[in-house]
Parts: sequence; structure tokens; C-alpha cells
Amino acid sequence: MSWFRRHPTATAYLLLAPGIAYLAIFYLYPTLQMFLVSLWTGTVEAGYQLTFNFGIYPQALAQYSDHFLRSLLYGAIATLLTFLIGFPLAYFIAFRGGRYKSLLLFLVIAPFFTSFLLRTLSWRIIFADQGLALGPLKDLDLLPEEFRLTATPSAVIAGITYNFLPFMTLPLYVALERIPPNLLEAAEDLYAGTWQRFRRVTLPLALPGVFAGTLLTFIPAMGDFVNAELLGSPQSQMIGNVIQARFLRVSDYPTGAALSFILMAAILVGVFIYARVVGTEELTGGTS
Amino acid sequence: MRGPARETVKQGRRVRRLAHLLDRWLLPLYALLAVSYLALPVLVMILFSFNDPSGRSNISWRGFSLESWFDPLGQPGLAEAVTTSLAVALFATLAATVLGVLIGLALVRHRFRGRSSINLLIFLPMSTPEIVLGVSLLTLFLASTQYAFVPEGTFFPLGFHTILIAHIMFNISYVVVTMRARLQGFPRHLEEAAMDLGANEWTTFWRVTFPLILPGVMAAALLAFSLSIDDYVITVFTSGQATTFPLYIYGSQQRGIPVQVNVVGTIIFLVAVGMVVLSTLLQRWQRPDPVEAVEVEGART
Amino acid sequence: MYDGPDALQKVIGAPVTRRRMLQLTAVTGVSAFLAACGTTGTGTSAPSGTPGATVGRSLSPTASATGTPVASATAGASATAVASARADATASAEPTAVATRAPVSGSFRWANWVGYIDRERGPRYPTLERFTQETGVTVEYEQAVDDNESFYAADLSGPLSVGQSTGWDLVVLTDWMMQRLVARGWLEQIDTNGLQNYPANLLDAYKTREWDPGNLYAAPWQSGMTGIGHDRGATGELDSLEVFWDPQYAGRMTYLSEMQDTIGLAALRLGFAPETLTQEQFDQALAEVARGVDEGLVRQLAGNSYVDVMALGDAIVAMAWSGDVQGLLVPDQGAGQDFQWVLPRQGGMLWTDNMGIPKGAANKAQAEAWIDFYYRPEIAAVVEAWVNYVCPVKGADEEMLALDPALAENALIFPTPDMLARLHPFAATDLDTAQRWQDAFADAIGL
Repeated sequence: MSWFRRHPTATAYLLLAPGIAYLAIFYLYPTLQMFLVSLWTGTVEAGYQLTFNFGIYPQALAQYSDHFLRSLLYGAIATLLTFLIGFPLAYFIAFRGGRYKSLLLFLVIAPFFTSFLLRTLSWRIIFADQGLALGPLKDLDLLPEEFRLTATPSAVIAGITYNFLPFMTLPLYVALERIPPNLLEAAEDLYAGTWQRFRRVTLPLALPGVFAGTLLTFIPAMGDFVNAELLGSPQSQMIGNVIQARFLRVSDYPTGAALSFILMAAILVGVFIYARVVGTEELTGGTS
Repeated sequence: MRGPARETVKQGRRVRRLAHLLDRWLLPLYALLAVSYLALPVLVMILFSFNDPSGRSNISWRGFSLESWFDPLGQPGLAEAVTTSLAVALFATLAATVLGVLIGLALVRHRFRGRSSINLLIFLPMSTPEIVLGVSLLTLFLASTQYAFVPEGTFFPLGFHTILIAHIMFNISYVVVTMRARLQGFPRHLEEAAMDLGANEWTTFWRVTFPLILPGVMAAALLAFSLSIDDYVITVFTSGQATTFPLYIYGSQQRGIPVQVNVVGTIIFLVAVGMVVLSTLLQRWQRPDPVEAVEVEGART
Repeated sequence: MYDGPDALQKVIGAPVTRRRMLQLTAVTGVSAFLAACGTTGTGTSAPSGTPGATVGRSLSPTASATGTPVASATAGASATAVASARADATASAEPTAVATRAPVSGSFRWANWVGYIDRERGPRYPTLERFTQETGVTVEYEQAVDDNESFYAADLSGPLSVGQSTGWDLVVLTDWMMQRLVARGWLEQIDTNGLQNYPANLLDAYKTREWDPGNLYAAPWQSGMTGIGHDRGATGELDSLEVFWDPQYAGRMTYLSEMQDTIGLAALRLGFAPETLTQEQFDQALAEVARGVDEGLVRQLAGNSYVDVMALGDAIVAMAWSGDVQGLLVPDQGAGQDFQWVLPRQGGMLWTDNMGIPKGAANKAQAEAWIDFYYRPEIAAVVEAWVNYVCPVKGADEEMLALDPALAENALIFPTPDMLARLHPFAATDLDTAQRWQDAFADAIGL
């Protein structure tokens, strides 16, 4: 017998080592480093020093609480919207797709193959004040001249909803697809009405999909800044915009790092509470 | 008693009619609208690749022209940006796939201590917003200049290598998750049979294990490639002066978008669609299940 | 008619009043002004070195009765036509300047702003091509600068603070940013030894900048104005800064992400002189900017991207740089759009963008060769006529006008005396104050 077969555990660790080491160096450690940077004081020009300036946390939170709340609000609304759009869509594909199932699934995934930025810029063209969508309506006097979509919170939320809709739809589809048809038939045989069947059988079984979908949508939505930047106005800036500007515009690394750390911590805490309440083992890969 | 009962029946009928209406008409209509919503910006992007390129910025329609299609890289810096993106995506996919597949194999085939910690570590990068991933890597690169044990020039100036580091990092988790989904129900006995027949580890891996996991590896690699080539958020924090295609798009959004950007975007879209169609056709053409296929193959010889 | 070697100098040479002083300092930087009269801004003595020409120019045929300069589309179009005609004409002529220093080859990387050099469809940059033809040096030209602070943060401060090179051999940045770079010691000295045209052909007005004596660090590229860019088709005639706080245009305006421009215009509206802005005045101006943001008057705070926002029709009023409207917006305007740039009644901002060589640049000699090339009057004239900004090169004006006298009417290239009287530079503060103001501005606009 070879060494590998005699030492399965050691083999496992060997297989894991390179990838895990990589993640430790370039994911775990940078997270710690980010925390350390948030405690720096100084300027780029004069250099930074680690001074354990914990005061930056309450300060950053107070100064940018609006942006945090906005991110939370936009993220939550967008997640709800993706669910409202994605669930019927996934339901239709899973149960009524028939021979068009693959095609429909493909259409859901297709936007992924197009640059995220180009799609967002397309919305800006479509919803420009005098653009493809609003221009004709205004010309026909169906909309007031001053009506606008871009540079409003609605546009930002719509942009986020659009960008993350496939992330919601696909897990929902996977969950719905797994529901055995005979289960629904059994429910019908037991005189469950359409609504009851839906509420008592379909919905609970779709729950893992709902869970995965909301996480896959809400987490990136919270941290997004591209939609707010391209479709929003100064009043619809999210926390991502602030973090981006702190790092790439004003070189205020400590504040940027502190805000990132707060964002990450808030999301992780939220995810774990959510996982406890709704979640399944599947989230972390479970115990396969 | 009869009155209310009839009411219930009537109500039931009404509910059923409503459900029928919902099921038969509203649901398909709704799905159609949702799919159109998803497709609309893609169509606009494609449409604007045929715009007359005489204007400064590709944001309003000026007339049909194929000019940009005949010269898709004819903008200063665009060819470099596309090349950088392709190179980053290629190398990041290769590295992340190797690292991720190894982890995937370990997770699916072996029992070991600390498995839940490993699962958690795989899960964490996917549940961290991209901006935090980008920022944390940037802080690492920034701080590295203060550490004596990091040779000067390792990370700074930021560029191709730091983008690559970032892309490998965020791709590993996706590769592992995709692999794990495909590896469930992996036929261990085939490997054991091979080794019992005297094949060594190396031969067994390349002749038995690898063909079995290949579809999963391909799926994971494709996912990694598409995530990498489209990444903007993490890249913007780790790029320095290197420019990838998404960074090029973002930059031109500030100074005027050339029509060629839409042409390249459309080409990437078409290639991706082509690959998906091709792989679907191949799967149909081949035997549906690789595991079954191997077993059939094995039975034959 | 136009009869002087240098429009700016002539205007500057008119009887010296406080206004004239301001015009001079507008071009030379506030330092000379401060040096001459202290921070109170009440001095009236003429700074030394001002040529004593007698009267200002009397050309403004297109200026309206109120003195509002009108840069008509035809003027801009002919400027472009002349520029390319001139490029063709001179391409075949013998090169006039032969560098005496050792010839260089290779290439250099240049970060410039969008629409800041003559460009033809393709895109091709005729002047850069000509430079390559004559010198053998190729230019890696990138429109990499969208605003000063972002470029500084993204491309300069990181590597330069740890003593590494930036990868750029030449950058174009505004005075105040150049001043910061000089103060940090982050620019290479331009080796003028053997250069034929620089600084020989630099207008005297630029030679008294206190932060760059001898013009060894910053070679002026263009001067320009910040005022009101608007779609006249949608707004009608405008000439007051009040428009930027007019609820009528709520959500259809953009401010600039350059603190000096936006605060400067806000200060002018409040009746403050931007060149002598005090902390208290700054605070008031900042409060006005913050109000514009908070009340949703401003659609976006933008660098060069305001051009696209206007082209889309999403904004119809913008704080705009003088040459952009003519050079970038007008050629592309759609049906019903009528873009125009005006210098506000209350005044506008005047600034200078400069070429500088970041510390440690690998191809310094090539960048210097380019600077010298640009300072040939006939080269600067071609660039100028295309970009529609004010040229710092001696003799370039004549070169332009010799070919197309109509260019004299282009108030963007040759600001009228009336316009010059209303132009202000932003206060040259010490670096700490500058940083504090930048931070306060960033906070107010929500970044």
C-alpha cells in the first residue's frame, strides 16, 4: 500500500495546504491588517504609525451613519425586490418551463456574460432624462418634463436589483426544482388547495433557496458602490462609495479601513444570526 | 347549513379559477417580463456596438455603422486592457482551479479534524463584500512596505501581479464550492479498483480520478474565468496603474466611452454564450453521466 | 484689430488698478499678488516686470451687450479646421527648431486630461505624431487624469511617499497640486540646458510664480476658466452664478469635484474674492455648496465626467471648464441641444495646468524633449486652436491668427479685457490649510 493510502488524514492535509495557506495569507491576514490600518494615524506623505487609535470607530460611525443606513435600506429593498421578481420566475422555470427550461435558465444567466459595468451604463442610457425610455413618454406628455429616474435612490435600488437578480433566481430555481412532483400530487390527493399546497409544501421546501438567494443578493448589495456612483446622486451615496473615496480619492486609509471593518463585521454577525434563525447546514458546506 | 356550504364551493371555484388564470396567463407573462428586464441592457449594449463612432462618447444613437466592428481594438490602451484582462483571468483561473480542486478533493474524499473550520474559511470570502476584499488586500500591500521581511518591490508598485493575487484569492472559494457540488457521490470504488489492479497513485489520478472530475473542474474553471474577467471592484483597489477591461470601461465612462468598448463587450458575451451552447451540445452528444460512462466503459473492457 | 504679441500681456499692461492687479495675479499665481500687497488685498502698486503697454485690446465682436462672451459654434469649428490645415501645412515644412542637446529616442508615458490635445478620429493625435516623426520619440499618451485629487491619491502619493517612481514620465496637473508636489520634493527639475524653446518662449506672466522660481518644475500647459456650461436650448441665456442654487434646475446641475473651482464659484456668488479667501469666507462658501448637495440641487459632483452627463441631457447646467464645452460638447450635440459656456456676471475662476516630471521618472529626457517641442509657437498654436484654452507660449497667438484671423474672436482662447477683469485665481494657502479645506470639502460633498 502506498503512503497516501496508509495516511489518508495526512493526504487530506497535504491536499488542503496550498490553497488554505493562500487564503490565510491573502484573505485572513489582510483582514487583520485592515483592522490594524484602521488604528493608524498619520498621512500618506508623512507616513503612518500604529497608534491604536480606537477612537476612529465611533467617529467614523457617527460621521457616516447615514451612508450605513442607506446601504442597509437599499440592500434590503433590493433583496426584497429580487425575491418578488425572482421567485415567480424561478417557479415558472421549475414547474412550467417544459421544453423551454434550458433556454429560460440560459436567459437568466446570460447577463453574467456581459460586463457588469456595461450593463449598468446601459441602464443609464435607457433611463436618461431624455433617453430611450423617458424621452418618448415625455414627448407624448405622458410624463412631466422634470420627471427623472437616474440620479435618484430608485435608480440605485433598481440597478442593484437588476445586477443581483440572477443571484436570487438561481438558488430559488435549484431549490424548487428539487421538490419531488409526487409530493405536490400527494398534497393534492389530501385535498390541499392550490394556496395551501403552495404555502405548506412548496414554500417550506424552497426555503434553502430563499436563504441562499437572500445572502447572495444582500451581501454584495450592501457593499456595492458602482450602482450608486453610476446611477445615483450625491444624496444616494452608499457606504461603499465612502470607502472607495477614502482610499482612492483622499488617501484617508485609517477611516476607509475602519469603515470596511465595520461593514464586514456587521455583515458577518448578521449572516450568522440569520443562519441560526433560518439557516441550514448547507450554508457552510454542511457535513458531507 | 346548505347556504354557507354552497358559498364555500363557489368560493373554492372562484379561487380555482383565479389560480388557473394566474398559472396559465399571469405567471408566464410575469416570467417573460422578468426575462426581458434581464435582457434589455444586454441588448442595448449590443445595439450600441453598431453605433456610428463619429461622436465623442457612445451614449446617444447616431446611426448604424459597422466601423467599430472592423477595428474592435482601435482605441489607445484598449488592446492592452483586454490583453491584461485575458492574462489575469487565464492565470487566475489556472491557479485558483488547481488550489480549489485540491481542497475540493480533500473535503469530499477525506475525513479529518478541522473540517468545519476549513468549510468556514471557504465560505467567508464569498460572504465578504467585494469592496472589503479589495480594501483588505490593499491594506496588506500598503503595510508590506513597513515590514522588513517583505522584500522591497514585492507588492509595490501595484500592478499585474497584485491583481492576479487578488483574483486567485476570490476565485478559490467558488472553485471549491462548484467542485464539491459535482464531487458528491464520487465513485471511490473505481479508484480502489484501479489501485488493487496495481496502478500507482499517479496513474490512478490521471487515468481514473481526473477523467471523472473533469466536468466539475471545467465548470469551476469557467466560473472562475468569467468572475475574473468581469471583476471591477476588487481590481480597482489592487491594480495600481495596470488597466483591465473593466477598469478601462470605468475610465472611459469618465472621459467618453468609445464604441469599441461595446464591441469588445459584445464579443466577450458571444464567446461566453458560444461556450455554454457548445458544452451543452457536447454533454448531450456524450453520455449524460460521466460516472455512469466510466462504469459502462469499465464493464466493456 | 489684434496687434500685439500677446493678448494677456497687453491686457495686463493696461493702467494698473486693483482689477488689473488681480488679472495679473490671476495668471501669475497669487504669490506675486500677495508679495506685492500683503494678504489684505488693498495694495495698488504695480508689480515689477509688468510690460508697460498702453491699452487693452478692443476686440469682442461677438460679445453681447452685457459683455457676456459668446463662444459660437462656428468659431470653434473654424478653429479646428485651421488647426488641422495648419498641421498639414507645417508637416511638410522644415523643422524650425533643432535641439542642440543630444538626441533622445525611446518613449515616455504622459498622463493628461481628456480633450486636452488636438485629436482626430481614429483616434489619432496629429501633434504627437509630428513629434514622433521629428524626434523619433514615441508618446504613450493616456487620458488618465479626471481630477487632481483622485490622480494624486491613485497614482502619485503611494509610490512617491516611499521613494518609488510612479510609472509616469509627465503629468499635467493644476497649479495648486503642482505646488503641493514641489513642496514635497516629488518633482524632477526640468533640465533646461540646451532646450531651445523652454523657458525662452514662456510668457513673462508665468515667470513670477513664487512656488516655482525659474520655472524649473512646472511648465505651463494651458490656462483656462471655470464658469457656467449650459444647454441654451433648455435654459435660455444664463449669466449669473445664482443658477447653481436655483431650485428650477434642481437635479439637473453638476458641480465640479475640484474644490478650488466649486468653492471659488460659490465664493464669487457670495461676493468674496477667491484669491483672498479667508477661513470664514471659505466656511460660508462651503455651506452653500453643502446646501446644494443636501437639497438635491446637484445631480452629481464630477470631474471631466460632467461632459457625458450633459451630453445625455441629464444635466443642463454645469460648473464647466471653458474649453470643454466647445471642444467636447458642441461637436456632438444632438437635436435641440445648444451648448454654451459663459463667464458668469459675478466672475469665474482662472487656473493654469502644468506639465511636470514626477520624481524618479525613467524617461525624463524624452519628456523634456516634448516640453521643448510644445513650446514652439507653431506647435502650441495647433494644440491651442483645438483645445480652446489660453496658451502660455509666446508667439503662438500670432501663429494662430496669421492663419485664421477669425480666431481672435474666440473668447475662450483670447479672453476679452472685460472677461479678464472678472477672472480670479483661487487663494494660494499654505499646505495645511489647503489640506484642511480639501478634507472639509470632501466631507461636505459626502465622500
